[in-house]
Amino acid sequence: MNIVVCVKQVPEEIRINKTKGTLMRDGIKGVINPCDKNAIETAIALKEKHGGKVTLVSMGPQDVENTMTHGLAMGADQAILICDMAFAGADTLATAFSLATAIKKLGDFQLVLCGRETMDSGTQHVGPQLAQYLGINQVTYVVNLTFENGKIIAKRRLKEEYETVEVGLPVLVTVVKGINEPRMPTYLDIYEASKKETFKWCNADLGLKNDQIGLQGSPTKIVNVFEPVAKRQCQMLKGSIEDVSNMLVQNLKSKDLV
Amino acid sequence: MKEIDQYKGVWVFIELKDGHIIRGSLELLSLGRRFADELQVSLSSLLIGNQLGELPDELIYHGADVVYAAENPILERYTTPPYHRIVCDLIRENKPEIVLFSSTDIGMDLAPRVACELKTGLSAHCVDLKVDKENRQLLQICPYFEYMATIMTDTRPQMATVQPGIDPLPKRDDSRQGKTVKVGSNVEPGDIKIVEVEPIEEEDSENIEEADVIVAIGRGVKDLRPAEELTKALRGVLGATQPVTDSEMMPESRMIGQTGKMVQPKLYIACGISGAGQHTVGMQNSGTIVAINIDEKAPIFKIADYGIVGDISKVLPALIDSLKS
Repeated sequence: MNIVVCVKQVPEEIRINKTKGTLMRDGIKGVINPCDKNAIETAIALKEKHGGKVTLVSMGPQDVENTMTHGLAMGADQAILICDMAFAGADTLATAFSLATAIKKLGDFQLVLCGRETMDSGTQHVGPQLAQYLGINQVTYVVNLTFENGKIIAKRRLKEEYETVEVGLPVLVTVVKGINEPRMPTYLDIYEASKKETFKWCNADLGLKNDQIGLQGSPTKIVNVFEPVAKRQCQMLKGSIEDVSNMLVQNLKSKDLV
Repeated sequence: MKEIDQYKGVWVFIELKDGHIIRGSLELLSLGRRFADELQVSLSSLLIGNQLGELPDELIYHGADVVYAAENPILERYTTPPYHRIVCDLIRENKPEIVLFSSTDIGMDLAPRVACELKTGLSAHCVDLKVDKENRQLLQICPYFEYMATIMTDTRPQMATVQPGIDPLPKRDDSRQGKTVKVGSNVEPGDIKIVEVEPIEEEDSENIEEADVIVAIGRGVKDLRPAEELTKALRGVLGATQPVTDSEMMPESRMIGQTGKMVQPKLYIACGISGAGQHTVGMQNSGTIVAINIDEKAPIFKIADYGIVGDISKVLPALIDSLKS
């Protein structure tokens, strides 16, 4: 089974450039989005059992290569980095379109895995949108996944219940953190990973029109970013720690809360 | 006439759970009613399921002018393919200008796929929505870490998923009139087969959603013990933000906010929580809110009644002492 895992590099620490309304990435270390590691682990475990090839696909700036190395060290076979200024500013729809085009170009895949959401935007949109662009089924929120008799058996974790579904290939699955414990690569794994191939595809390789990708290809626009308005009048308690503690307890007692 | 001007009307997607309309869907009806009145268009609701009975009328009593009802045994329980097909075909045919979903498991699975087929914009987890009447634009306000972001879509329909638990429930008025349109009779079942459904057995003995007092911890808390002791002294329940449950310091059943639980205790004590919108959306309706944070500029103070600026590891023990004396 050939598996594609979508990976996103996210800033280790979230800081917002308020005037531009964008995430600050300069000088902040990039790491793999947490549940994408679970997606990679899922892929490697399936490969170990059923054979095949695991390919990582990521869209992002040049330095994503370091993040990809981590996934390769976990056991992925190759990585594809979609990297071009033309992709900058993409919303989820434009991102899904670029990823789908790259995955179609790669061809010969049976399973696409994604993390449920990214920690830097958290929309949960890209998985289902990518499945739609690829014209395949999607199974979201998966907490357990097996491959039996040519079918995927996936247990979904919903708010109040588990739902197990059976679906044929090809399919896209989004996984939640609880699905597994991602392995930690050893130094040897990291050394071996440096010998694996990372292909860089720019837009010339994908041949997409400017109005389909990046900011131009994005139907949603962030028009402003603002501080939430104060909803309550906060009484700031001041003094020594003992004083403020006593003041708070008195206030809460007067409201019959403690 | 411009292409986007052909799109008229407000739609809400209705979800059922065990044959009942979920609270989030009723909230969408009150939100949708408001927008439909402002834009002077009709409010339609999309109801998909099996054995719908009186449900279409209920939607009309709760504010819908039109109910598109798809009733079929294969639609008994949500699976992506047939629901997606029905929603996309109806939107294509009727061209609504706004389509709203609840940001639930179903809404978050369905809406992005629909938006993708229709090549239109979708925002996620909106906590506030407004319409700009003149430009017929939907202003979609979503939590954006410690800020809020306003998102707009230049395509039609304008689609959004809305955080449940924020908007009021609509009033039921059984004298309201509307029409029900039967749809989706020839929908194909799709090839996702549900094999088993089982309830999630919470291993957690305490239910945070029913607690009167919650002590919640954020990334600013490194040592659990003082917070646990304070919780015990207050006979409350300990809660947490997503970064804390993600780090496995606390179980996921205690996560409060957008991806976790929505809580409304009488007393909420936020310890070392900066106040990102993803968290505050789940607790901002608590009775009295106390915020303790080392950073006096932390946005949590904007939604708190009492604020203490200080180091959690020193403030919590002092607070426990004050409570005991």
